[in-house]
Amino acid sequence: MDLTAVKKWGLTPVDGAPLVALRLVFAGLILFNTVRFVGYGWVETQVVDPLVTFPFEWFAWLPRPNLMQAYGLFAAMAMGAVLMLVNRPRLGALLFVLPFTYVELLDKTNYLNHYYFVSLMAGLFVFLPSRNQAASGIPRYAQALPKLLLTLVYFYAGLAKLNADWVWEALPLAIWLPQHSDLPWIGPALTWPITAHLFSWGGLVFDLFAGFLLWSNRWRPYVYPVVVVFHLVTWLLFPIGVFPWVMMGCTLVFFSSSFHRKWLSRWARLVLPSFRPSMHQHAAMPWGLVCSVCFLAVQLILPWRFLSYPGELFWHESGYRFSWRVMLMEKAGLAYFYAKDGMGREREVDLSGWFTPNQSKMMATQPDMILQAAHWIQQHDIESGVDTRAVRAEVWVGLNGRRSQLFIDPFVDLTQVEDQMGQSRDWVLPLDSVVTMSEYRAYQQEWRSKSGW
Amino acid sequence: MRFSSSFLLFLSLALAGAFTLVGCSRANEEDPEEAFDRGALLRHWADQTILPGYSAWAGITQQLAETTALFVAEPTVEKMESVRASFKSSYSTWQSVASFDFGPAADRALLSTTNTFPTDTLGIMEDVLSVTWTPGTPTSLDRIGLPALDYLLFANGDGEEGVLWFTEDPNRGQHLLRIVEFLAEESLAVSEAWTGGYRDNYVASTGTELGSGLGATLNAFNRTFEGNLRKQKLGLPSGVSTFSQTPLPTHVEAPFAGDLSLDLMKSSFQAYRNFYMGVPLQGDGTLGLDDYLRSLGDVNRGEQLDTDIQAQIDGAEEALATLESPLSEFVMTHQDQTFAAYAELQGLVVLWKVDMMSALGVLVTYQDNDGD
Repeated sequence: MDLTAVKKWGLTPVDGAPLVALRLVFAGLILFNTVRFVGYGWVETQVVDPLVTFPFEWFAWLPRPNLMQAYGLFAAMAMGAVLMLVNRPRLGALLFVLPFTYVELLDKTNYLNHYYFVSLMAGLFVFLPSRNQAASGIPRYAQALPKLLLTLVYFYAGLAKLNADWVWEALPLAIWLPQHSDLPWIGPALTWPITAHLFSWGGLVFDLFAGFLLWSNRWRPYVYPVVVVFHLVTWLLFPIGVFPWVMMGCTLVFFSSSFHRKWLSRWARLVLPSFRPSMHQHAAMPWGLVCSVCFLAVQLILPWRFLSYPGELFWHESGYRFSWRVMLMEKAGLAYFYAKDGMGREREVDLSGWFTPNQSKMMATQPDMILQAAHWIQQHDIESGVDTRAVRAEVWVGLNGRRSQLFIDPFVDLTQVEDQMGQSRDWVLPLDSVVTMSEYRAYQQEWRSKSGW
Repeated sequence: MRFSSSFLLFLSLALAGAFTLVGCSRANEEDPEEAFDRGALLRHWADQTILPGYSAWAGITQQLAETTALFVAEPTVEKMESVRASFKSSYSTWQSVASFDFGPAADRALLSTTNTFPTDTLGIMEDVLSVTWTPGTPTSLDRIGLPALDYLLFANGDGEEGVLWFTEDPNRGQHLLRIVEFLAEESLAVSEAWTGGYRDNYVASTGTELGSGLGATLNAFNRTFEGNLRKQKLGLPSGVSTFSQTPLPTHVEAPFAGDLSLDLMKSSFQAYRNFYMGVPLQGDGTLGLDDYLRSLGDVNRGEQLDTDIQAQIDGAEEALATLESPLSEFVMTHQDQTFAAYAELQGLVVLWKVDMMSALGVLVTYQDNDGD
């Protein structure tokens, strides 16, 4: 690639109106999201109340906020969003993104791809020139960066759908759609097998191409309505919060600057300075461009890290997060933990009341969280004077309509297992091993004695 | 504006196209799979099991309150026996409504106010002396409800001896009556909430999302089966959660009435079985989760799953049949048998909570949140 061409393309001044518009739309959405989060009482149930958390690797040291501090954090987020609305984008984005990301890092239970997207986007606004004055001209890379990120999100979400379950079995949609058979008009059709297939293929094609077609002036007027319909349908059918609105709002950035100038002046009564390209000539080292390229490179590579782990990604989930894999799995599980003391006696761990319902549900299907739970059990027992030396777990998981099967090796001492990036989870049984309950019952004793548990 | 008109044109075309497609494919479908009528399932459950169940529960606790009032006014052996008899039928009746821990029951915390055990016997005796007694506070749940009655009615001697215990200190009888009256009030309140509007909302919320009729019912069904039947009635007394695996005979349900625990466990199990199979408490016809699973049109997660669940129900039933009364003694002497029965119940938990819930696509959570 010719670097000077990249530089020339990236630094060409363009009208910054779309970025200003994106900032306003995005700020409105995150303000709404913050108010909604607080309004639903999730500050308590998701952030403050849990007795135990499942922090992300490298972030276990983060202190937990108490109720007042948590409300302070959400107030800061709201304030940040408001600042972005009133033309203080960098300060506002910073004030929003730090507490928002901090809260998300506290517990894997609450991880959502759209929260990750919001963190990235808000992070970009700390650096991008999106004040009203910027409409007079910004380097093209600044305009392109959010669009590239959106394209990447759609495209990778599409790539993730290229798997046998999605394409051939129409799973999990074949399970999810019939739930809505009571909807007026379309309800009955949602129970037909063909509908799930059409939705699956439609979603796949949409995700693969929408992000690219939005760049084209010719296609955009036809693709954007599809974007709206697609996200409205997902909003109606699935419990995915504000994500559909975030995508419908953010993809507006693809529209031309004249379109944005029109609605901004008409509805927001915002008269932007006119675009004068001559004002901007970037001669010095273009750090912004360099950083943008690096950011994109990381985003391009990160979702592929699953390739370094053997086995079925949807099963072991090594490298599953931060990769735009959305709405791909119906995965349910149930985990029972057993602790052994110094004398080799075993008991079932009674976890009732320790984990929140959401935590129990998320933990039961995600190996790293099962491991964290086992480590927590031992640590908690030792702190309360119980002589727990080893912890094992019997976990049953069903993925995409498959019947339940044993998820991890039930006789591995989980307190001796560390889950590190780059290390394959060999204590997770392969998806195709399919140990059913009757098989497990039959071989349980043999397995136990062989394992030396 | 050129854009907005093309947008509207496109949108209307897209919608028109979608409906035409739906219409066409509906017409062309050779043998359209009849969508399972969740509304009918909810009506069957509500009208033939839940409402009659709560009405029976409210009725029997009312009767318990009446017999108790007569006994307290004039304690005799005969009247005490009649209180004991209504207590026992109340406890069995409770088993058929215990799993409906959602909606009105959850709002009033009926499960905890009715049946938190093991009961705090010292606390109860403290309460006997308390003039300003408030029932149902979160810290005193183990001092009220059926387990407290079990203690007051059975732990202090039979016949004349038992009556004497009450006449020695009239506060004891008065406290017995206070507990019974609170129990009766709560059961009546839940029963009335169901008839007074909740039933209609329940049968109308035919989706599967959180808080829908099916979502609420199934989550409570699984949670109480796992936590209250499997763990509390059998697991903890058997000693599954103690390192020494020492049985805890005092942890059985109704330990003082002696021979009641096992019957209660079996009635509870029957209630779950019947609910799954859609066998109603009142009236004819069965409509249950077995029918729903079989309607899914997928052999593996439909018919086969139902077959496996029914086999597991039979297995668990057989295992429970090997247990003997009184349970508090049996757990001390036959741990291998109680552990075996526990394992059978656990097998059913997996099939219901993992396989059935994901086959039906019901959100397995008791807490509101977003997914993606």
